[in-house]
Amino acid sequence: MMRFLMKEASLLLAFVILGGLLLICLWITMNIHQSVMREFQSAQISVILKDGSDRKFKELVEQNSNVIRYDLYSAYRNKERLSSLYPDLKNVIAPLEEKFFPMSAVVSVRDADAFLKSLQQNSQIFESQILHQPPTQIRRFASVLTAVFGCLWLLTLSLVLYFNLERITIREEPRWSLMKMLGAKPHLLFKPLWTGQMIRICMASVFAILLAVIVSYQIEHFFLWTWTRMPFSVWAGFLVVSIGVTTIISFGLFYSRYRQVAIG
Amino acid sequence: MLFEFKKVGKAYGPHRIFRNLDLSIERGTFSILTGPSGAGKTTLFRMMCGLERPSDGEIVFLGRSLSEHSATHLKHIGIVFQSARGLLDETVAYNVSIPLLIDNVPKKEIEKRVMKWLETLGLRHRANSKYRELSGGEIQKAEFARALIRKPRLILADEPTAHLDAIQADMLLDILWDHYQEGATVFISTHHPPRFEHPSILRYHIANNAVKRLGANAEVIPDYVPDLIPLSQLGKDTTL
Repeated sequence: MMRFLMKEASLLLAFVILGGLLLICLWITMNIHQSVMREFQSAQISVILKDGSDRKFKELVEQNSNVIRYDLYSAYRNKERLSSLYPDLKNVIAPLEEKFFPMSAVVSVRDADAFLKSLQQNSQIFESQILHQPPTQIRRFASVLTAVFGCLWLLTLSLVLYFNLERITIREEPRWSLMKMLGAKPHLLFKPLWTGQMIRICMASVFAILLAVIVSYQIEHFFLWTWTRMPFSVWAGFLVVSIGVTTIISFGLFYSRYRQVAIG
Repeated sequence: MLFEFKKVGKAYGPHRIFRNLDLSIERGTFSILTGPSGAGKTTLFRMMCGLERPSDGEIVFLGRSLSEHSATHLKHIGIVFQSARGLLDETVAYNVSIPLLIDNVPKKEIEKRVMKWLETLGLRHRANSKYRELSGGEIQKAEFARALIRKPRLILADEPTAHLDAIQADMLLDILWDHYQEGATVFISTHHPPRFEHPSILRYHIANNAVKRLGANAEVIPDYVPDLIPLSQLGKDTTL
């Protein structure tokens, strides 16, 4: 019995820690989405247009649903921009003819790779390079990390419930057997069992939330950045998901054990 | 017909207990089952409750195959086994009240009915004792109370008086007899057939993988004399 309790206590602790980590990961992912992505949501591509290809380029970008917006710069405008960018070279740039400053465009797109592919088909007209691409790798990494913690959290929850139910089954087998003999329906036996599990999991979830709150305050304190607070709906959602998953797993485990208990 | 066994067979591995068993039990009858130990009386009882499935054939209960009934059909059956099935760490009162708790009977009503039964069986002073503290006879009576507290339509009792002295055994049989007279069907296995000599009691005998219906006492016992009724039934109306 002592071994059972020790196992359960350590699993419950693991559940709290993993729950906390899951929430923190969720919080960081949300921040990456909200702050970083807001600033660099789309990729920017600089395209150098060859002489006389501006009309064809306009047709191409206007028909492409991947393009969010584009700005065309004429040769004259490019010469002006260069002069204002490098004032020391103004005297050198001024006498140069406009043909040395080709027409260009800055295109904002959702998917840089797809846009570049479409440009490659017209490589004789355009030359292009990516100016900026959003940090999709970070976003992917944060999402994968959240998914991993989510899976680990689910696994721990299943283990917590399984070992708890094992202990209860050993203790309650005579009662279940007698109740079965007297015609009790399974839900009558499941109800008190579910209540116990629910109290345990709710308490563990609250501890996980507290842990996440404390750690997130520490992160905010040590890493100065424009952190946004986790909305209340996420905390509440975590609790609701915990309750829902506990109910489903508990009933599944209970029913499989209940069926094995001999009647009378 | 309450129960019908149709070509029922039962075997535990190579050990065969019943072969092609055909048996019917009518509603509103009081029957006893006799036979040597190990002949299969308890197995027959367990199959009737649906606690054990037959290896072959079919058992029909109230016109439907027993396998088609949900577990709730057991609410209509009061079962008393030879050995205690109660919860040893719970009180006597709680153990007796379990069927009513399952049926969602109000608390006050439960208390009233439990106390009435414990009073009838002389167990009131033991209401708050743990089941494990009871003697064999007291446990048998508490098991009886738990089986009958719902007023079941069918009472199956497997050697219900095995742990009781003659006076207490007669008292329990009187209670069963009252239930029978109120319309319940009673089926009892026993090693003491002389206790059941009322002329209307039906007799079954189990031996050699089969159950034989012998008939009512009045037909079975040679030169049946109505005086052979149990002492406890004296003074009651025993006419057929």
